[in-house]
Amino acid sequence: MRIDCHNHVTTLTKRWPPLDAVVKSLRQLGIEKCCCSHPVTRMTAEPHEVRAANDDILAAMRRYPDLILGQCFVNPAYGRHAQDEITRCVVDNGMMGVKLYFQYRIDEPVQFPIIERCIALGVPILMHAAHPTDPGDLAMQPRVSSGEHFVAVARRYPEALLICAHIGGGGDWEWQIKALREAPSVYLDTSGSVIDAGMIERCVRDLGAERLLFGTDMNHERGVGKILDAEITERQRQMIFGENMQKILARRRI
Amino acid sequence: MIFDADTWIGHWPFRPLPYRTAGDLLRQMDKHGIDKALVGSLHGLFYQDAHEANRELARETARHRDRLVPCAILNPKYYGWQRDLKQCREEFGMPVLRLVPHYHNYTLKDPIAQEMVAAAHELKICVALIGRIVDHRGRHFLDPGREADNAEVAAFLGKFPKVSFLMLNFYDAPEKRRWDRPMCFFDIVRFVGGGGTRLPSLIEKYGADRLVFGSTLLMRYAKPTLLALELCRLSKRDRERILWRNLAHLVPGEAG
Repeated sequence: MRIDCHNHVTTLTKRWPPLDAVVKSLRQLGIEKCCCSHPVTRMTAEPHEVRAANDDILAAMRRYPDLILGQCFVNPAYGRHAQDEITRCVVDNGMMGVKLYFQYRIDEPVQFPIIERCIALGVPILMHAAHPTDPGDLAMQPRVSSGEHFVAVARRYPEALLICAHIGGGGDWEWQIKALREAPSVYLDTSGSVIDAGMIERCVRDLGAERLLFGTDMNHERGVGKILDAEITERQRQMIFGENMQKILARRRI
Repeated sequence: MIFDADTWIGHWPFRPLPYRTAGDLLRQMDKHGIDKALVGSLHGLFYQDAHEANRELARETARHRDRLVPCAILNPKYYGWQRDLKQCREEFGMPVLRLVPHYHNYTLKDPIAQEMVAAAHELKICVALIGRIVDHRGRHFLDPGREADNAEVAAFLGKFPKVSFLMLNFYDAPEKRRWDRPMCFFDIVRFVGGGGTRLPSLIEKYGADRLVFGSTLLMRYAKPTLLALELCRLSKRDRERILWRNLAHLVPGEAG
């Protein structure tokens, strides 16, 4: 079973690849379930934009109900609206969890009501993350969540289902792994374009296969290929490819 | 048959690599069904005298010349490079020269870079330009590597209308028309992605004539790039072109 925990699709914008082509590629790679969001990737994300983005994902879910599991994107700056979106998308329309982007760090108090709501619902939060070493990259996302921010929030909410996004999303992945050793409740997703040799083996060695979730973040072949290529056991591969996420999905309380 | 245009052996000073030697590379190639590879010295990028790395590489690959084709790395700002280049070709049997301006503190605008390409051409050495060694987002602060400046590269290529270049680890081409002359052959390692659509649409649009397979072993996993190619459902002819024919045609001494 391959469940992609981190992907993005659209039925609207032409900036992203067409949905049907993406689905064809997912199926070719044996991905049976795909968790998808449409985050607004700017520092500001207004309520009407957030709603439109989530509507886009709901449309994709309707088009491919067997494949696409929605993730509800919210901007915690608009607390009431964020809670309403979670009700609309997760509770009423079956999205599997929440997606947070870099508008705020995961350990900032503005996130706490979102985290508490997700704990109550038993659904995961996929949090955009990186430890950029490049000043230009950091300037583009000054509030990006790094490993140490997950450590802080996991201490406050050890029962939360937090997923630290894309170990291969760019940035110092060794830093992220080292930090997450101190946050044993946090999962790490393996997605991203970076396919450095030894990366997956280091994740397994330092965090354990039970904390890793396979993902692609639109890098389908890289996402699957690095898990297939990694020198880990078949058992560990199965856990990463889907079993760990199946267990997370089973914790839903709605 | 698979002929890999982009492999490296040696140490990377900023991160331990799981595999480093020629023997390791051969084992990884066997694992992935790669028959032959162009290989460069990774730590040689940082040597004061890069030619010492060429000597090491020649020694390390000597027993595996049927599978490992060593590539020279030289600094055109370092004393005696002309003599070293000749030795790389004539004594060490290196048919490819990889230019790494950021690691040798020059730019492609420097006349010396053009002088080196002209000299390589004279010696029937194929010149490889490199888009990047590592992703800048996670770069160590002491690593001088940067993403190649595409405008600078295009201007540089324009000075050699009759020369073919091997373009390794580039991202921003060959969609751009300005890259069309002279002939540039791009490895596919970074044309993978876009929700599984990038490589197929690239091949559909521009054909398979200018693409070669490159894995960036031992720096990165090879499986993703092989998988991407596998999913493209190419004709046998196009598949062979990308996997080995184009590169064998480009690299002196490999066509036969």
